[in-house]
Amino acid sequence: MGSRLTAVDDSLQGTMVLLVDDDEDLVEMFGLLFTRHGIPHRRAHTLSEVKALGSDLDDVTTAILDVNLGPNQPSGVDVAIWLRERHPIRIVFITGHAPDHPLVQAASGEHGEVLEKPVPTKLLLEIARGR
Amino acid sequence: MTGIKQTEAAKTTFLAAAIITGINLASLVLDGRDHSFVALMVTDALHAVIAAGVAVAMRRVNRPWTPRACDFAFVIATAPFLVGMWLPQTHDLQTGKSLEPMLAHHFLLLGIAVVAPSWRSGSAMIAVFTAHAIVLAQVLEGGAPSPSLDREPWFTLVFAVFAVMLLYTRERRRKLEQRLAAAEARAQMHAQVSRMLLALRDRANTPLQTLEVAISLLEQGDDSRVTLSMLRRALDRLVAVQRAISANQGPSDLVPQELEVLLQEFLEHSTDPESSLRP
Repeated sequence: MGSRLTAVDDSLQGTMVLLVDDDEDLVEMFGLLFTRHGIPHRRAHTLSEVKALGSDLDDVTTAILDVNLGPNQPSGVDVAIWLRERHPIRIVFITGHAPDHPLVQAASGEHGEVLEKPVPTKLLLEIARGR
Repeated sequence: MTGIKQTEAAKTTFLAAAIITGINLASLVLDGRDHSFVALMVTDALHAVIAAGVAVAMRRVNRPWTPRACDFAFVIATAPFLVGMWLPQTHDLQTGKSLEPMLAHHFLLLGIAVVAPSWRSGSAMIAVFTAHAIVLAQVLEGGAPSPSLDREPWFTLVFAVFAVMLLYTRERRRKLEQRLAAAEARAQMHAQVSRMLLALRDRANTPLQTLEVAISLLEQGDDSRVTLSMLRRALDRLVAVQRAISANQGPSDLVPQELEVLLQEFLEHSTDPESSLRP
């Protein structure tokens, strides 16, 4: 899916958000929101798209990942594990599943923070800004 | 729960009627008194026919039997014993062959306790046949005193007490089974509602997230076509979820009041999204 780099707010120097969700509309909405607020970000829908970003991932500081990336696809947990193997970044999962869903159980704890959809926009922006 | 009770009562009544049919047929073949005493033979034959009719009806009638109907059928199948157990004893009295005149009553009291379809019909028939035995014992004792009658009516009353205790134990076990079945049915219903709520949550939350961000963008003055089309698509997806709910109304035996309680509990336990942030 590629990446998108936008004009960076001075206060956001060094910030780079990776958005990964299998829902194209949601990624597009998050992208519009971050663009409007000058938050640099890159987008992907699957683990293979994340891997395709290659060296563009080197400056990523926070990853916002959907837990379930669709049927027969590696999950957001797989993306988190792959990212963590490269370098330590903050990982926040967003999910529509119940807390006792196996993927959500796997996502919580050592892999990252878990937020239930719908996440308030204000909170989303704070996470993206690294607060 | 009622269905289980009905099925069990109907099965028990069928069993009782089948046993009574067998007893009367055996008497017709094996009991010499039936061969020499026409009134007794006719009574036993009629009783066999009545009991067989009840047994066939319990099996063949294509409708659920209510507990009351089962009680009625049990009484119909059992009541002819009032005549069928009186005649042979009075016959024996006349022929001077009476040995254990109350033995049949004692077996019958225990039999009623084992196969009665309910506490109501069982206890009633135990009372009736206990009274019947006491009256018969008095009549027989007046005719030809027998050593086996010396212990009456107390011996019959002891059997009656045992029969009542046995019937009460059966009733308690039956009620416990009904409560367990009801609890299981409720648990299954709750699990089904829970699965339905979880499925709704999974399907609705992503379009809700899109709405949340899109509305936030609109509030910030972004009224671009992209944002509006996202809003429309998110709304369409929520409508699709709503249609899925309408198409699949959930458990057919769901009591609306219980669903209300479950939904209320669900809403009360849903937390502020910001507080759901977990390390």
